[in-house]
Amino acid sequence: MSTLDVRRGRWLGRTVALAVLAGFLGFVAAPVASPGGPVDGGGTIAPARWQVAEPTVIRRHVSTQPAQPGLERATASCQPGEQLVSGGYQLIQAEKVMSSFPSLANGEPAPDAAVVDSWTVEVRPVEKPVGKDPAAEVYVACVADPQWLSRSYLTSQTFGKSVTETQVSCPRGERLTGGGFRTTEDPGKTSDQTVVASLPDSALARWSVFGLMRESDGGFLPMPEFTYAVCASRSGLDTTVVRGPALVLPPDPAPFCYELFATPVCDLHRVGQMFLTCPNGVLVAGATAPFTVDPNGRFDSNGWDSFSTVTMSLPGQPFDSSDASGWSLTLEQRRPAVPADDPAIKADTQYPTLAVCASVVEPTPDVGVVNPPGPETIPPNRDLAAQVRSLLPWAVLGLLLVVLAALALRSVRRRARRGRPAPAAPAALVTIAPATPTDVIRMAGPHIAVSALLLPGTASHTWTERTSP
Amino acid sequence: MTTVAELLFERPADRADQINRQLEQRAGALGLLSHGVPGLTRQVATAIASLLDLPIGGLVLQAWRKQQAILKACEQTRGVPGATASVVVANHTLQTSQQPRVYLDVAGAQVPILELALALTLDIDAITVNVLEGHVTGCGAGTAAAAGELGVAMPGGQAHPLFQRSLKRIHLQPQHVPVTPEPAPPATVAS
Repeated sequence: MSTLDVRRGRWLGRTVALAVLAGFLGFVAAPVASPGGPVDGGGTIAPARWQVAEPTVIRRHVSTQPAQPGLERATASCQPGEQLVSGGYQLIQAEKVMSSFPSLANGEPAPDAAVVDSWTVEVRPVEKPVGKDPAAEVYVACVADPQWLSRSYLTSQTFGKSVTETQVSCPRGERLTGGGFRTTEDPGKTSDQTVVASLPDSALARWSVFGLMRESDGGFLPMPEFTYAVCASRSGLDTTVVRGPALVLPPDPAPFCYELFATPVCDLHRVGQMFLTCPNGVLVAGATAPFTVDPNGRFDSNGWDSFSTVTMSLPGQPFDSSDASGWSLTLEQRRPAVPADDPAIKADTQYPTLAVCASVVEPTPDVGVVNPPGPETIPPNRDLAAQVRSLLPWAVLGLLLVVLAALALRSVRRRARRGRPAPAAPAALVTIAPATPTDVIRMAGPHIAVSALLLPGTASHTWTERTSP
Repeated sequence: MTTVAELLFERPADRADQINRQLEQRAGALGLLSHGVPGLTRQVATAIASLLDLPIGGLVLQAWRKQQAILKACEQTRGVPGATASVVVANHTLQTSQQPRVYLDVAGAQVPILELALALTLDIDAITVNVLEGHVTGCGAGTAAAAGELGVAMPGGQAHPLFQRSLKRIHLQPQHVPVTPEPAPPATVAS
């Protein structure tokens, strides 16, 4: 062996040692240098396998445009890559909302169980609009989640002359995220459909619409009404319907009072507003109704206040496209000739509210699960501790490699001094790659328990009488 | 014959094992392997097994709001102190479907991992439902033919059947609705 061979062997050994040492240091230092380690004050490491994520709701809005005499319409759509969650409206210069429903992008009603990405609203504009304000604004709420799939389900019914309820449920395995309604125009204008409430059912995954047919001009031509539920399927998605704080209609600050047949009366215009948020999860749909609440806490449509209308029900704040964290509700009451001693002149009236809250609970991506991580699946900082812990065995291995490399270098130098041919460089040492730490992480799981719940509210029962043999 | 487990399983004592076997055969399709939890299938099977200890007679009480005769008895006795009614429901079929959920509780967060589909049909010969002052208080013994099916609900409304069984005659045992005792009236002091 020449001097050159000896130098080459020494150089090779040093290179191997340095490479292994650098790899080891980088391996250990990289996770530690990341921000936000979750090791708590006691030095214990927080469990890190699962996370509760809130879907990021994106929303958009457009103004209605004249569609036909006495009707304005608009459709707000989610962008490609986004999925529909729900939608709503704000009446600006409109007498009433005729339809507010999940639709196809062209505004056409979707068939039952169709994938939908848009929200369409139809309103009856006021007869004499002021300025250039539109009759209404249409809002759509979406999520950018490749795993999320929204479908709309519908049922149709003819309203009666008193308040009638229609319901549509999500199929098993899908979660309710919104709902709406579509009324159809009576060609002869002899009767008039009025939706008085559109809200989630507090007990079951279904959407309810209450409405009635008002007869006019002496005729009555029943027309179908369509009730819609927006249902989402997504691994780990859970939605719950929670009761929100009461929406308060305060007294009219400036009632218009006069005498009618020698009786003092007032015309009232009361407006109650509410911004609903969820205690847990993100709010994907909200609702109120001019109904009283029965002793069991349920909406009582018999206590319908026929003078009140939901004039705004939309995701986020009106016009503010940056905030979709809650749901805006406005209830307006226009009540003519109220006797001056009526309690409504001076007292609050309260109406219930409901919110649909959604959350996604799923494994962190490093568990090697199923779903590719979506936008909301970024592991929280607390995962860092588990990663560091899981890498410790590899750090020890790296240290061992450094020692082996040093020994190899020593051996090469000794052999060179003895004039023996140096063995091939231990290239395999530098090619050892850190294996995926999946198995290591799986071994250190948090406390896990499994429970099965049967809620009576989710049951459906049917009785039928059998004919006697 | 009392519980849903006894309807669905010939050997109800082994039902956790039977459910476990079914779940393990379908673990991939049901997504149970995807959670990265060792032994999850067994834990899920145990949770489901305990859920099926539901008395079948209790379903009659759950479903009373859909029975016109019982509703009418409630209306007639509501607000009338001491008023009772016994409604005999004879030759009726009760179809009931429920969707229990199985959750994984991980560090306080509940992860829904399975939604079950439990469907039962009871061809009731006769059963008596008792009403007191507008409230259903329980039901008496009865007999019925019964059929049950337990499956896993899949996205899209499909159900993955696991077990189904029917029996020509089961005994419905009396059930009582727990009544919250009313607070005692305040003591009156003679003047």
